[in-house]
Amino acid sequence: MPKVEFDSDDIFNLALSLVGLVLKDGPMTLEELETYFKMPRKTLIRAARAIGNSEDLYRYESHFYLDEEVLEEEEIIDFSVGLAVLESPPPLSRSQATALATGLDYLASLPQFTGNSDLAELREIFSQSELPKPIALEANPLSETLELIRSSIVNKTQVDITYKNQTGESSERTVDPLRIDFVGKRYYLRGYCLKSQELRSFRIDRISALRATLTPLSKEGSSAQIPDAIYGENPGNYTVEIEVKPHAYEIFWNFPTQGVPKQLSDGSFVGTIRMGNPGALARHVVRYGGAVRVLAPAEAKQAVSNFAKLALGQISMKDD
Amino acid sequence: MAQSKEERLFTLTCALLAAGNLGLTKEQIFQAVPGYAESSSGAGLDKQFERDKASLREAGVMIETLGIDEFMDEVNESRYRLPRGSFQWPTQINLSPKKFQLLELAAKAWNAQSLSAAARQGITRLKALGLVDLETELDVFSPRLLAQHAAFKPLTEAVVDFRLVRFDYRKSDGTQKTRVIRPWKLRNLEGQWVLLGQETGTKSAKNFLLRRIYSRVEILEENFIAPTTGEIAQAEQSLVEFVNSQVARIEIDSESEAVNFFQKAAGADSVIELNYMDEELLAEDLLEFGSSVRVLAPQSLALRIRESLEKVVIQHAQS
Repeated sequence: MPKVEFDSDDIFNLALSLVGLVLKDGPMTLEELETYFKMPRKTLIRAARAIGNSEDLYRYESHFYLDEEVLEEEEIIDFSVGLAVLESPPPLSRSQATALATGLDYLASLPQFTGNSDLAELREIFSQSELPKPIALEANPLSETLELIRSSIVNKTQVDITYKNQTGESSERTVDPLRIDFVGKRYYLRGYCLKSQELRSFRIDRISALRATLTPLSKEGSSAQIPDAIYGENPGNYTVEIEVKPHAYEIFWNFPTQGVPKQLSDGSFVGTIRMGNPGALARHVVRYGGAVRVLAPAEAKQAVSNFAKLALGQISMKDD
Repeated sequence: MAQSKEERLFTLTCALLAAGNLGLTKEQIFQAVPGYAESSSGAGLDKQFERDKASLREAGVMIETLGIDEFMDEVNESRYRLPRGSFQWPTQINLSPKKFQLLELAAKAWNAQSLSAAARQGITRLKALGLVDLETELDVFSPRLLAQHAAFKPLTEAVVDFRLVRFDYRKSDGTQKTRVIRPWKLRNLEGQWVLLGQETGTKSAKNFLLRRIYSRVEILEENFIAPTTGEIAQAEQSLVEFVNSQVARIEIDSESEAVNFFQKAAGADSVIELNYMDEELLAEDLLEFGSSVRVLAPQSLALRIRESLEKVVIQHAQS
């Protein structure tokens, strides 16, 4: 997980929540609160101090009194109520509710949550509307593979896979499975590949066979940290210069770029992407049907042209 | 010691709550809250107070300003208050560990982007409603909403604040026009961000793909009346019906990787039927598979693919 920096707004929000929780469920240890709120100790202490330093100078009394002694000695957050009438935090703000509702809508569109009644109830609470049916991908053929990977991640055991890469070459690999990502419309297995001895992303729809083993994860896999970007592990050295219409700009998010793409006077963008496998370039360009144009190198232009000609039937596989 | 921002916001909230429906004048607030009383910023104090009010509203602490006429004649100053009941939750929310886990996953999907702070704070807020045992079964999943569109942030703000927006929009036929929209809701459908909104001067709601917004999104001063939940539900349902009515028939080379991608609808048959939201988006998915797929219907899609491929060939001819 990327490290999150908590700012004053986060801590104010946490202070409001801590009041609600402690008044409801009683004093709690820092350790319990760390696990529960998934926030570091120092952030929790800052929030506790915000509760404690709530003096009303006009009335010479404090809204809450933090028990400093029990915090120092026993690492317990406890406070008593002075002037305060605050008992629980206010309801979610509109941006908080919107963020969660959109996230829930998104989950509802994923095949693995089809028919999840808890999710349906939550969407009802957060959207506060009659629920339309989500446009979901249909029954998921990958669900069996996903379940096998999921249980292997939980059990910390390796999987053997047969994987076809984007240029169609097949390989057998043993992988320490670490996480399943769902990005755009695709699932990825993130894990440590023992064959290439590095962290890799495997598109799950390209895994043609998968076998769960009882072998525990390797030492490298157990200690690996997964980078945030899907392409993070191996950005590749092959560079291609492209010109892109605004509606196809997403191609710059799918590959690491060299510098920031520049906008031309007609609204198009010019930039350079990096990739590991030049063989896969053509399909990523042709997909945009003319909204992405390769400027250089010449062999990349040729590959794109050949891919399109092959699809048009102007050349056959042999000429390619 | 001077109060930090979070301490100042917290004390301000407590002071306003304690004052009840009568509220407090700005002067009373400045006297009561140490963060203001002990400040040496002078004229900057008013500005700081304005920023703090905005922070409170952003956090859902809906501070109200009462003018002199609205309250009492003898008070020659505005008063600030938190309306009675504004800290009461509208619905009885009972969250099971399973539901909580789903909410955490929904927040995690924002993945350090646009709305991730709001989602994270929402989760923290919900955790105050009482201890829930947290489950970890779904921790291995990391669904991620990608919200890199430049249009995303201003549109979210406009949706939250009920403000009109103006932008240039390119339709899938390539025509482009400036539109003024009442933005209702943002949704991620099939990996694409879609704005549901109503164009001013029209009654029906429309869906706009963020990727086709060709200009900066301008947030206008004018507010609009929030759509009813029924209106939103109806608009979303009509999109579902539209998608269901759009059917493409595709022939797939059974030896190719396209089989995996389109597997959901494929059986032993190499001809599959797909529903789609937008012809251009479907064409992109098909183009990627080149000669491994062939469109049987509709004609417009087959033609679009042919023309797209021809354009690519011309663009990439070696000079």
